[in-house]
Amino acid sequence: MTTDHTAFLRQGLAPSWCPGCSFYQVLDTLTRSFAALKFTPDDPVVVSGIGCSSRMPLFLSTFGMHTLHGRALPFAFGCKMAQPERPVVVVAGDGDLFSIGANHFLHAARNNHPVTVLCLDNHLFAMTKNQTSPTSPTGHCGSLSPSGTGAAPLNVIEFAIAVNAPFVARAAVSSREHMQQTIVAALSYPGFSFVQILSPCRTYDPNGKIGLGERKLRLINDTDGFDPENRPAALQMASHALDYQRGEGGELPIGVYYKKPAIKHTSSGIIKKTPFAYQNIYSSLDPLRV
Amino acid sequence: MAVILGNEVFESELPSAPELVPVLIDSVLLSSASERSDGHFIPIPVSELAVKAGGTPMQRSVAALGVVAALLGLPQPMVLGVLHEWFGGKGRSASESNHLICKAGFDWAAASLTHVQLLVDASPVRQIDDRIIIDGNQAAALGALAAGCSFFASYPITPATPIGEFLARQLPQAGGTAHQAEDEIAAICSALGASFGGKRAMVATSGPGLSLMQEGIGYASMAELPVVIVNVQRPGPSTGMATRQAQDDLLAAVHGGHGEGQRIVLAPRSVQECFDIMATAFTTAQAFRCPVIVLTDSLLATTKMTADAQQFTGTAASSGELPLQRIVTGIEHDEDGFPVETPSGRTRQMVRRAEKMERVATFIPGAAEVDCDDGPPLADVAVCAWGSTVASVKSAVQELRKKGMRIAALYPRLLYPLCGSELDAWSAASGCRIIIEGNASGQYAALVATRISVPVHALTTCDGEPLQPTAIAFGIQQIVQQEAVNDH
Repeated sequence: MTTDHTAFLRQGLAPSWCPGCSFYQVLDTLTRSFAALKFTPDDPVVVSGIGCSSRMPLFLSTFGMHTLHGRALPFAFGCKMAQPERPVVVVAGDGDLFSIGANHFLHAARNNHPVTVLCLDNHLFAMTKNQTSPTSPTGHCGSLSPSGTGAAPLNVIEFAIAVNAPFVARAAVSSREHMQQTIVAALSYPGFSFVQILSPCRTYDPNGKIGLGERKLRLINDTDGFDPENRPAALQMASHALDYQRGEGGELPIGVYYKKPAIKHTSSGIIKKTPFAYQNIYSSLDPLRV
Repeated sequence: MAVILGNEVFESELPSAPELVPVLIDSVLLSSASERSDGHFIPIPVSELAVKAGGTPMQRSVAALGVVAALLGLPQPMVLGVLHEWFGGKGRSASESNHLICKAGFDWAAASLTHVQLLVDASPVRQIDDRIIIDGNQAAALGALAAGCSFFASYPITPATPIGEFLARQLPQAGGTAHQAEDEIAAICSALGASFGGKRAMVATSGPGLSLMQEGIGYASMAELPVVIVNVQRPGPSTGMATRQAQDDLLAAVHGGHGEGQRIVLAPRSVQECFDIMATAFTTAQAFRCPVIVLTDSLLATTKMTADAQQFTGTAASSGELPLQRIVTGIEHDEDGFPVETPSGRTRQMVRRAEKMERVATFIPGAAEVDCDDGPPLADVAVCAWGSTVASVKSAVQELRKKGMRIAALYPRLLYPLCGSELDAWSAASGCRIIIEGNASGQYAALVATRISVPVHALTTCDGEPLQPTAIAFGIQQIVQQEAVNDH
């Protein structure tokens, strides 16, 4: 029996996001993704940090941990170790994951923590009223850096591939069906998976231009011969999409940039268990050493 | 016996040793030793022996090993064999060099120290199967295992690293997870995630790591998640002195978080108690749904003792698995876990979380050890100590009682919330009250002062050394005399 996607919405608590916030679209798509994967609301644990997007678990009927700014990933890892059969999904913003949380993202990726990370990227800190974030375009001004940042934005796709994340993808709220396919693919991946979801802030970026500029989205699979299992090719594709300066033309590819072939498992469940290095290292009997 | 090899020993007061204990000292230090004390030293020319055997003066410790082994009557082949095992991996020349130096020390002592009497019978024992050598760090790690801990997150920090090293090997064999995190913040947060997932979770760190974990500990208070934090104290603030002794994190443990979140602070008083207290810590954390901080210190962590293995076994009272809560958050929330900001809702939650702590002192068995041979109302002085200081204070109290002083003593293992009824009784002493601890400002004294209304003396040290019985006895006498003067 398939659970209707609305069963994943928390009853009796309306989301507190601004009317027209792109996160409503992500919430809707996430519930549809859970339903498509035949989860029930008692299956997933949704873990978030602090920020507008981090409110997500409060509006879902699944298990949820609304944790500390930048620290969703370690919470998620501990939870996964305690409940390895459950899908654990991190939902957080660009500031949470790549400013204060960048170190945890790096190590979660390189250690292949078996969680799915959805970065709801609006290229700024919205809840605290418009500061620049690591993904803000060069020169973008915010309330704490009124003269602009001066730094090029962090290319989170390139960064994720560089630190050995085995599944790296980009989606956008403006392509709903593609976003759902990408989220489902990430949730199905038996290892660390990361999706950057371009989701503009209705209040501080009403035209949705900060991330895209004048560029158009393009499906990555439209590139002839692009093989997402080819890591150097993925890095090259990612680095071309770096500069978010307004006024630049060109295209921004969305889709799965990199997908490392997963270890095959014999279990028949939708979500396959991944052997974790830490549980296997000490498999041989080790006498008590003083 | 005691063996003194280093000059830095003379920076501070020489440890007091009862008369019958032989104190061996490197001959090159003898002249300055004689100046500092009228103690009875047995010179051993270990630096010289090391050099004569083809090594450097730094290898005097290996020569001293040979001396001690000969005094104990250990068979030479056995000692040299163990030495080879230890240094064998470092290459042939290191192994051979140490072999010659150890032999030199052994042969010299066998010939020259026949007059030295030992208090202990060091003849070999046939059956050692159920005897172990254990230190405070290992005891804490074993205690966690025995208490049903199944998730441990670590980050290396002196002097707590060995706890993680032990659990990294043993916890996976017990079906749990031992994880080296990228920093202490990740360590506490992943432990909280595992706690949310229903497992008994723990971290171990020292002062600098405790500071990093404060936000996570506060989260545990607000989200009401059980978690155990072992803090092996060392002198602070900041990097401080990584390999020295202190008891200066108590206030950080109690009040280190922003806002007013609940915590429980326990402090074992011996290596044995490092083991025993872990079961108490996990049970209490689960019962009160809050973080429990266990304060040990460098001294307890590294003090080795022999013991019966049976003293370090146990079974967790429950499997420790709890069902998942539906949602947790650090935002102020109602009983269902959803954000609440109304003045009445907020007040209700603050009061509820605070009130649950009123039952802690009665929940924990043996919250404080009371030694009132002379009864508080009759005592000349009431002393109080916690942690590793307790052993030295007990020695001092014994000596002072022999001199006719009437002393009431209190040794709490529950430091916070305060063990109120024991403290009230203790404070009824007719004489003065002295709290002895290894920090500069008298941190436990400051906590106690929030409960009792009579003055308390803080007898403290912050020199990085363990408190010695003679210094403590001297300090107590000084304070008692000063009080007598003030009274007149």
